[in-house]
Amino acid sequence: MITIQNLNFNYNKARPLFKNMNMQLTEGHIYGLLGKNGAGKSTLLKNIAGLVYPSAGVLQVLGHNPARREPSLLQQISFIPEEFHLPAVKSPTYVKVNAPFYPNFDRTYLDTLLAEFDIPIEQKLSEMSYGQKKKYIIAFGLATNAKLIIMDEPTNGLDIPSKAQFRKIMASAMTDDRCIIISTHQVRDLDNLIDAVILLDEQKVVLNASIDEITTAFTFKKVKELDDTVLYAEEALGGYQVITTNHSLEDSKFDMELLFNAVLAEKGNITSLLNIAHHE
Amino acid sequence: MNNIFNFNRFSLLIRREWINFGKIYLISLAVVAGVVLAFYGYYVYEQLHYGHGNWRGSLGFRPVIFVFLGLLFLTMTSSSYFSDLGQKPKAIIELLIPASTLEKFLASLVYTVFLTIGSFLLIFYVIDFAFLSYIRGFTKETTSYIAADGTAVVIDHLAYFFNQPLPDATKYFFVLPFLLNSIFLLGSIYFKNFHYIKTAVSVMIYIACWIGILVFIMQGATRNTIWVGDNFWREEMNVLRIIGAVGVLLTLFFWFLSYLRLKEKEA
Repeated sequence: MITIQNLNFNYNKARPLFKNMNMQLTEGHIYGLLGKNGAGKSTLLKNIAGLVYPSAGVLQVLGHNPARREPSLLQQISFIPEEFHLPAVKSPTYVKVNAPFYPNFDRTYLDTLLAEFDIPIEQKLSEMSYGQKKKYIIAFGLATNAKLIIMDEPTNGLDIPSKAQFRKIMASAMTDDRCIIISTHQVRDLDNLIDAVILLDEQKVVLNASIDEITTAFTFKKVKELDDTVLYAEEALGGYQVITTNHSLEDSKFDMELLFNAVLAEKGNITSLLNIAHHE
Repeated sequence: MNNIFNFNRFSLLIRREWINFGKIYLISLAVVAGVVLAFYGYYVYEQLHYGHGNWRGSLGFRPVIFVFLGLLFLTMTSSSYFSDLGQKPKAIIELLIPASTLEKFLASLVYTVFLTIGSFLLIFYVIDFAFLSYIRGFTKETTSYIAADGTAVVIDHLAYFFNQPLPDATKYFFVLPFLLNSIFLLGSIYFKNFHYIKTAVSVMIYIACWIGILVFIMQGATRNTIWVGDNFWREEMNVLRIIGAVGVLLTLFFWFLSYLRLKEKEA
């Protein structure tokens, strides 16, 4: 669905943000896009949506060059930005003027999502709280039935019950022909939701692997003492949270935060053990 | 699917843009109508109570108000149309609306050229018609004379504004609103904030520079010389024709630049 080859991007020529980045994203997955502040998560999403233009390289989304902003591609992209503006109109008016641009828009589904998110639709969109606006735009984006859903920090501003609702709704929204990319720095919000992880660091994709691949290669567990099998450890209450190689193919609960820290600290070890693309 | 232009998509875009632009446009139009009404009301009231039947002098404000208020309204609406693109939270949603750049650009012309100019002409026409009909109901003011060819000429000083004969040179300035629209539309895409002021200042600087350069060149080229060519450049109408033609070319050029700028706009 998305092919990125030798992508270069910079806001400032002296400091490139992406350097020869390569990545392939396929439909049927919910990708979690992680990275430190300033790693370029939002910029990568904007490149994919055609909101900014790369300085070099090839970027293909659903067979289109997103930089051309062709309507046939745009109607298959739903981008939920971190910061956005909603006009001073009520939901029915907003839907009336925006929904017809999306051929697969499902009004019934939107109403279901709005009810599930408990959004007061009789209120003007501009008068809603930030969290309500966020939920509204997420609901509208999902109701477009676009093939590519891009979400930049979607859980920012959501209260605790709404985060749980969000995970539930996103899980149910996943279909085989859809690709969902969620960028966040609040990795706990994506627990049990994503099935693949993309990690950006130092102008590159340092990790792009499915959760299955990761949990097959590694075990995430808590131990009281460290031994030679430990690849990465963090002190925790009463011991250590560790990542070890999964020689015995045991099941463990994937800890995204631990993996994130491990990859940033021990990039070479983790990615080489995973035997996945560690793009140079 | 046609990714360049689709009439259905264009219609949807026009309808959608009303949500963004309609409010600013209607408020501006209400202010314009208020100002025009205030001028007519003031001058008519003053003439009725303190005047001496000199309606001709009292109505002399009409062309001034028509030109300056019209151009102000036009430039302000043009300058605000794409101003949302300067704010990332708004720009992302606007740029990702599934319509082509050409459709988005043409929608801007529909609003800032056709709707703005059309509504201003209509508002001015209606107000002028109402006041002049009222005045013509109780008085008339004409000047009559016999022209050199023997025909009788009657000038109606209480003629409706749009019924007044225009000097021949006026038609060459019809391009001015379109030229200003193209410049301020470009400014609304190019600048991130303070679009109107920045565009106005830029235009003034450009005009000052060009005038300075032209005067300098012409003075250098024509000093201590006499004109030996034909009379083409001495005919006022020919010069106006050239100005009109340059105005048309510049308008098209700035519209094209606006289109390119919209295409390249990032968020």
